[in-house]
This record gives sequence, C-alpha cells and structure tokens, in this order.
Amino acid sequence: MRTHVKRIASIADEIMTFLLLENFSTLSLTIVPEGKVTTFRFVSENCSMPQEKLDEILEVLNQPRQIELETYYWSLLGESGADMSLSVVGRMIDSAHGHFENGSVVLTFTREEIE
Amino acid sequence: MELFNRLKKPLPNRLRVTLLFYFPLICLIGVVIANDPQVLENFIKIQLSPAILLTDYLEIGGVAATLLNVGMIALMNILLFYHLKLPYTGLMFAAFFTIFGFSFLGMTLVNLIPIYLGGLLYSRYAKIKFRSIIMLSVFAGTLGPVVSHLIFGYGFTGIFAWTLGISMGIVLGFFVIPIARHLLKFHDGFNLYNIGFASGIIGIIFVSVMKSLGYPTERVVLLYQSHNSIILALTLISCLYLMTVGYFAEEELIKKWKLILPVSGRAISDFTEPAGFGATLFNMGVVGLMSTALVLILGGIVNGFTMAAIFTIIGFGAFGKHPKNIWPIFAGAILSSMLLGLPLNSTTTLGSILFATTLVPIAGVYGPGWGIVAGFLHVFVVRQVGDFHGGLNLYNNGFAGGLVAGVLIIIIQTLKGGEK
Repeated sequence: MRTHVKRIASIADEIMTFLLLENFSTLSLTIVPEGKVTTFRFVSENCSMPQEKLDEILEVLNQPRQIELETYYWSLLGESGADMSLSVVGRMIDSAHGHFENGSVVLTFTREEIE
Repeated sequence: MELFNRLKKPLPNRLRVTLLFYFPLICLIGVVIANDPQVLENFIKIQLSPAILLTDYLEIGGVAATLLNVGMIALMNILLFYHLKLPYTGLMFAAFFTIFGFSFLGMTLVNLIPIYLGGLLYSRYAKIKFRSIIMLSVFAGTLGPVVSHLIFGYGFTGIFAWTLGISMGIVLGFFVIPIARHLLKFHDGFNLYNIGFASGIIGIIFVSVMKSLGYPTERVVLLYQSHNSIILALTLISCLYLMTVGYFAEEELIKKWKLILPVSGRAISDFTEPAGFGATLFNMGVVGLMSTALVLILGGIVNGFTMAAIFTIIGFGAFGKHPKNIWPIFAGAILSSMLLGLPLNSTTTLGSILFATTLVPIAGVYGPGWGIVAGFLHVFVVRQVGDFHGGLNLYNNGFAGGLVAGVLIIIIQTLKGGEK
C-alpha cells in the first residue's frame, strides 16, 4: 500500500514539474482514489501550449502499461521534468486524456493498482 | 517463404518469444561442430569454477562445453519467460542477451539459480508477481561469482560450502532488487547497466567482510587468446539473423529504424514502442555488427570477454543503444586508451571500449561531445575499480559507468545552468 501511494505521489510530482516548467502559472491537481483505480486531474491555467505539443505528450503517456518496467524505474520520477520521465509515467498509467478548456490545459489519467 | 510471409504480419507476443529459441539452437549446433569428446567433463569443470572476473569459459572448458553452458542458460531463461507469459519488450531483450553473453564469462547454472530463487522470495515478500521483477533477477546474475567463489574459491568444503554459497546467492538475489532500484537515482538513469553499479557496491561490502575474516578475494585473468571460427560465426550469424527477422517483420523497416535514432537512450528507452518489433531487431543486429567490426578492425580476438560485451550491446540495442549514441562513446574510450598507451587489440582494452556504451544516454541527452568525454573518463575509472569488489561483480563496467555518470551529469547540468 505504501509503495502504491508513493508511486501515485511520484506520478503527480513528475507531471506537476513538467507542467510548471512548461507554464509557470496556477496549477491545480485532484487525485481521486476509488478502490483500486486512481484518477488524476491536472489543470494548468493560462497555458499557451500548442496542440502539437499536447498531442506529443499524450502519445508518450499512452504507451502501453509495463509492470516489469514500473517496478524498477518508478524511482526515477519526480525530479527531472524531462520528456524521458514522461515515458516512465506512461508505463505506469492505464490511460491519459488531455484537452484545452477556457485557455487551460486539462490532463486526466487513470491508474489501476496491479500486483 | 510462407514463414517469411507470416513474419510480415504482427506476431503474437508468445510467438515472438519463440524466436529466441534460435539462440540455444545455434549453441547446440556449435557444440556438435566443435566435436569435443570431453564436452561433459569440461562442462562440469565450468560449473565448478569459482567464476571470478575474468574467467573466460572458452579458456577453461573449451568451445563445446562453453556453448553447452550458454545454450542451457539461454534455454532456461526462455522457458522461464514463456512460463511467466512475459510480453516482448526492450528490457526483456536487454536482459536475455546480457545473460547470454555473460554465460561465456562467469555465469553458470550453479550460480544463477540461487539468485533467481532470491528474486522469487523477494516477490513473495513484497507481494508482487515474480514476472514484475524477473528481469531484475536475470540481470542480478552479475553476482554469480559470489555464489561460485563461496562454494569453490575460498577453500570451504563439502556441504558447508554449498550451503553457504547457495544461501548467500538467495540473500543477494533478494536484496539486490531494492538496492538497485534505490541506486538508480544516483545517476538518474544515465548508466544503462545499473544492476552492475548496485552489485559493485554490494561486492565491495562483501569483499571487505571476507577479507576482514581472513578470506581475501584474488582476481584472475583466464582469457581465451585464439581466434575461433565457430565463435566468430556464431556472433556474425546471430547479428544477421536479428536483422533478417527484423527485415521480414517490418514493412517500412528503414523508416521505422530512423525513429530509433533520435531517442536519447536514457532509461526508459524501449525501442519496441516507438519503432516496433522489426526495427528493434534490426537495430540490435546493426549495433552487434558495429561492435564485432570494431573488435576485428582493432585486431582483437572474439573470446568470452568480448562475446559478453558484444551480446550485451546487442541486447541493449532494444533498450537504449543505437549507432548515433554509441559512436561518441567508442571514440572517447579509444582516445583515452591511446592516451594511456594501452594496446587497442588487447581483450581488456576492447572490453572497456565496448562496455563503455553503458553511458550512451549521456551522448543521447547532452550530445556527442559529452558522449566522448564520458567514454574517455570511463576507461580511466574502469581500470581501477575492479579490485574494489574483487571481481565478484561481473558488470564491472556497470559499476564504473555508474560512478562516471553520477558525477558527470552533475557537472554537465551545473555548466548548463541546471541550478538556476
């Protein structure tokens, strides 16, 4: 359980770092755990991120989940904010969606706890 | 032709794993061609060796017995992957080919099985599936010499020696997983052979304890120093096999392969995802040929040590290494070897140059200039650190690479204003 929570915190940390580096502005995060599934919702306000960049991020984040990689590499998360770290996040979540809403970028992830 | 047409289509994961059966098969063919009447006797000699760096099994057991050891270890791992229903990934290829290569140089069935058992126990203890950590257990085979040396090298005898060696293998196989995961942060994923870094540190502690108890660990150099056409053919045919399967498995091979070249190589760089299965296999064959060509051009011998290096590069050709990030590391390592006056055709020098590619992420992320610096520094460091762990860590270059990467990336980031 403790590791599961630390992994969720690391994902949140990585994405927050990434979004703040992209756009140093108001950022809100909601984490909703429901049973084994955790939902993340990031809202980065007044974001000038182009659609192409958002599409690139979503492509990286929607790489197939890989438990074998997650178990080992999740400890890399939370410091760099580099694109490669997004790839680690992509291996740790089940789905990622993103869109623009009133000038803000909204990212929503889901992650199911798997042994 | 029907098989090739089938390969053109996407393959189910489990069928893809079966493609690895080629490797134990070619080893078996090698055993038959080598035609050694004492193959079983020599095979037992390999299993009972202390396995410490640098023990080249071609030297102590001959070609046939070594290939039998390599083939059996390869088969054991393939069956394990198959049993655990592992999906094919870049990490799986990296793990498989690393252990395939090091079965020429220190890994045996005797010293691997206790380490795997330690990993299995860890998975039970941590309440995670064994398939989640099996790759780490495979890489952890680097500590095989600890097991073999306790049983056959320190002078312990009988059931006590076996109990001690096997128990220690299980303990190390258990703890190396969390230790390696933690130490990943030291170099931030810039050293691809991270288990080697963790195992180097474990090795230092182990050797220190043994020395304090009156059991010093002496390194050995037992290298095969002849050209052998079977071994060279196995290497070249394996590279061509990977490239051929890659060619037939991918419609737009070169276009897909070009997707690999801009990837930095820093963990996680699983090439099967951006480029697909075929292009990844093709890249593995290309970097394997590059490495073999380098050995031959510099006048070296393809022996157990260089085979370990070449096959590790082939494996990581699916998980971080490609021609664009390899060449600066080669250039830097060759440059420092020349500066030190080391003979470029010697096996140990070639090993340092080839294994320096553990640092390709530095070239990939910060450019070829820093890649040359990384390769340059690596040769200096790797020549000194082997004695620290007494040769009990087979991935000595992973240990050196971790030290170089951990310090160098801080220097680079500071110079680039990373603290601002």
